[in-house]
Amino acid sequence: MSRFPDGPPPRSSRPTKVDELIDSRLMARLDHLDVVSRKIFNGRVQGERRSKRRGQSVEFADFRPYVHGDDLRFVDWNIYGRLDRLFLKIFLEEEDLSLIVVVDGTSSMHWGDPSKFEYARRLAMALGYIGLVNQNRVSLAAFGGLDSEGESAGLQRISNLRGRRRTHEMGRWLLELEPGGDGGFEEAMRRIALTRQGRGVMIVLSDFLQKEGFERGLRYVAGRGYDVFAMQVLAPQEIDPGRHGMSGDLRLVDLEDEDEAEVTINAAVLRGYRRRLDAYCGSLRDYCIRRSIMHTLVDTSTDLDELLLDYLRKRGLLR
Amino acid sequence: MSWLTPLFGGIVLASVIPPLVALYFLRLRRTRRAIPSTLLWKRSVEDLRANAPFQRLRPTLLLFLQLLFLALLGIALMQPRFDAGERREGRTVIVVDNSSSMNVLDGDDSGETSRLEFAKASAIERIEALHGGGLFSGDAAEIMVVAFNDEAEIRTPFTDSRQTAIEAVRGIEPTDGTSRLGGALQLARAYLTVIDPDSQTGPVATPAAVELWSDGRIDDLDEQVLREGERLEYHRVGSVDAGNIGIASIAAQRPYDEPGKIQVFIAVENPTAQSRKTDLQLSVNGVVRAITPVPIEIGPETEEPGLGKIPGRKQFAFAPFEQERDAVIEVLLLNEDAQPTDDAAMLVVPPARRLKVALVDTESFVLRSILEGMPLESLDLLTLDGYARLAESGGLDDYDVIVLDDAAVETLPPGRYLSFGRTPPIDGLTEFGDGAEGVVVRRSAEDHPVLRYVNLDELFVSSMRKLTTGVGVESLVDSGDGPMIVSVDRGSIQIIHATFDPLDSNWPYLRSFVNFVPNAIEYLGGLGDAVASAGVAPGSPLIARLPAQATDLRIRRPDGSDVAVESADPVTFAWGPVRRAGRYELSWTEPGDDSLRRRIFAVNQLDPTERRTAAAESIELSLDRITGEAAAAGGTRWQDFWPWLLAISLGLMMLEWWLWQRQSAAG
Repeated sequence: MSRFPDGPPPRSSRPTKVDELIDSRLMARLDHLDVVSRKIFNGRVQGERRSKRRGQSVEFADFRPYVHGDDLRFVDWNIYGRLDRLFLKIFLEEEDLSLIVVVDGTSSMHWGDPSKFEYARRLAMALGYIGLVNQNRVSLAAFGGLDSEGESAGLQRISNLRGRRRTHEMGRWLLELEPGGDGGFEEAMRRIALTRQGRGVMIVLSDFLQKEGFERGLRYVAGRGYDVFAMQVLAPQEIDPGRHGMSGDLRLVDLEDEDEAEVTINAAVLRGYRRRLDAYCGSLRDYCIRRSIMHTLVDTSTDLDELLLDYLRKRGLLR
Repeated sequence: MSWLTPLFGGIVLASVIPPLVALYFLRLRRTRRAIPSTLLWKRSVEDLRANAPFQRLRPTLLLFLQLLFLALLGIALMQPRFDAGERREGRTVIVVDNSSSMNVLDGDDSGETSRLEFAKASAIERIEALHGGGLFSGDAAEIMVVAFNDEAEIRTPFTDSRQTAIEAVRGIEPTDGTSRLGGALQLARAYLTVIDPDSQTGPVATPAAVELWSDGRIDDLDEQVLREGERLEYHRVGSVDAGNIGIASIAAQRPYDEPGKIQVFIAVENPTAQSRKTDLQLSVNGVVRAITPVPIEIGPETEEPGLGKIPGRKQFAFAPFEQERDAVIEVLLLNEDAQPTDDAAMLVVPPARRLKVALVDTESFVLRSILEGMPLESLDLLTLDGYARLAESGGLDDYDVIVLDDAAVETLPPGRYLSFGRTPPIDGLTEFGDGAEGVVVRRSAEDHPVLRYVNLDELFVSSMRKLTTGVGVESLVDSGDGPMIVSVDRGSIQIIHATFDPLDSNWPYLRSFVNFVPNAIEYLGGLGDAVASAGVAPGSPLIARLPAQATDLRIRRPDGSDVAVESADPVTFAWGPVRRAGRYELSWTEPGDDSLRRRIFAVNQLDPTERRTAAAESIELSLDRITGEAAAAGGTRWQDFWPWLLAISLGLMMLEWWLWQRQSAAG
């Protein structure tokens, strides 16, 4: 039995199979979607999308004067004939897209109905599936969370998945994630930035309710070759607690650090909370805008199909 | 409104309400609820930090009712009261005048409240105001209550009990006595004086405030001096314009030549500035005999230089009327005034009778001639042997007066004696020395009935026995060598004794001797002045000679109440002092005679000070003049408010309990 009346959902209600993370019907509908990067990145292997890096593709990009050491195979001899000067032909190289989905596995995510963590896990599964289907290099990372011994697992990741056949592997990895622990957002972002492999799209699924602040963590990954999407996952009980039975004389306990706050819920307190939540989300959004990060607030009561097929397409993450 | 124990209530409130609120918070079982982060909640609460206590104190009717209950309880413990007055700590002597003039019915505007009733109510208010002690306070003023008329009575010594002091005041009874403040002050001082055996400076009197409720008509004010530290406050009771006329004196006489008739004399005084008229009514044994044909007018008081104000006075003599037997004569003033006590006066006139006198061992023809000239029933001449035989057989009881003319008697049975020469054998009269010669009178008690019209200026005694006198011996005539005529009253034995033989003086040749002997005979025989006696004044005891075998003595008071009495002396009955004017009836029975014997006493209030009923605006002591303030008017009483608060708070508690039960039942 949980220590708290509204504590983490019981383990029995959590998905245990990949099919429970993403069903075949949704998979079929996601087959037509692709992750959109607002930037063009070069990948490690030739992929299915353009790269700014000139390369060996058939699509001409530009000329540049020959310098010593250039591959003579790319000299445009026609121009040399006309102009008597050596120019190299530069071709756009088609690269694969690096897609990193970072899941917040801290205790704060393991709350709400439906659970923010479960929602984020299913969303990560869906986004990863889209990346795999489109031959993107998909990496998943999770911070917070517990290992098999119940200790803080730190940053967990699975990297360089590619192709539809890796779907099951990705799903199992997600299923093995055990939410718990506190913090680690900043450290996780720093380590992800340090171990960056190429460039790509990074999607961070978190509630961003870090007491140490979200700014330093996001600063590690912003503008470092990632097209970052910050998807703030909040439960409806967080967005409007008054409408979801939050009332009376409460001793609120922080799931992460067990910090307590004694609150007698009344209209003034609820109004103050809403103001604070709006201000907090606004500050996150403003920060993201300044750092060219796309911020999206996701209510876990939103149907996942609707989110993927409609909302995120409108927001430009998917197409 | 005042608060008797504000500190106590404040302490209770301060010690009870915070714990209640604390208990409310302790009792507040907050539900633990896990949330993702307290970050936003804490910031939200911080926004409300300025109102944090109120944010905690969510409106709750039960808490409000509990706080209200405690607040009312605390206020009740402060003992709020309406119409609070001055509070004074220390010692206070409440002195209430209950003399006759305090019976005037002008205590308030209704005309139905006597001054004494009003003074008592006012004094009770004052006690409640002075008394700082509520239920829980120990700093109460100490209050002593003294009532006074011609005598002072301690109703309660110094007490810090408010209720005791109030009950003492309530118990003060009206009297028809006169007013003398000295006794009250002496009693108060006695209780204020602390005698410390270790003190080198002698007794120490603690200062106290004396508060006097009176109409200011007090006899002995000019004899009183306030001591150092004493403070006297005069609460004036009664109207300063109260008018009154009253009977100043009453007398009755059987004319010498017509002993079967009685003539009544009356004097009425008017101690006010306006002349007044009144009718007089004479009643004999309850039957009206005469009413003045036209109202007699009594002039106003006049100012006499050196004497002050002299009341207007009118004397009136009723026509003689036949009354052989004894009679109770009552005179009434048929006017309406506020003081009815002095509007009636009463006299008890004994039946007309003649005396039986025995003259023992006489050698003086002068004395015998005088007695033979008196209208006596009988005059018997006894020798010493005859006297001794009658004394032994009890035959002397038949004589009203026995005259001892230098007789050497050995015994003195109970009776009344007029004695000359030899000293009769009775305690208190002891001869010494060889006697005195050539004695003349130095002083005589001319106001004594025996010496009426007796001028002893020319008396010369050639030889006189020298006596020392003991207790109960009154010297009527003194010489340089001791008493010449004494009066001895031993209850059953009463003697008028001249220490010389008239034949050893020139007295038989003087007219004063001719007057002295009848006076003494009539005085001893209970006639003469006894008829004209104005009765007994309030404050005096009722005294009567009764047969030695008298039993079952009872006294009926003027108000009709009956009380059994016992007399320590089988012959002389004394009871009292009486406090109210009017008719007292003593009854008794004698063995072998079933008939009830009666004796009527008339108690009249004829004191001139009590007759002056207009309340004095100030009282003048020997050295101080103290202006009075009208005693608290309106008859308002301290109204305790705390019982109401207590009742309301109990009601609130019940309401709170009911609400709690209802909420508990609802879940």
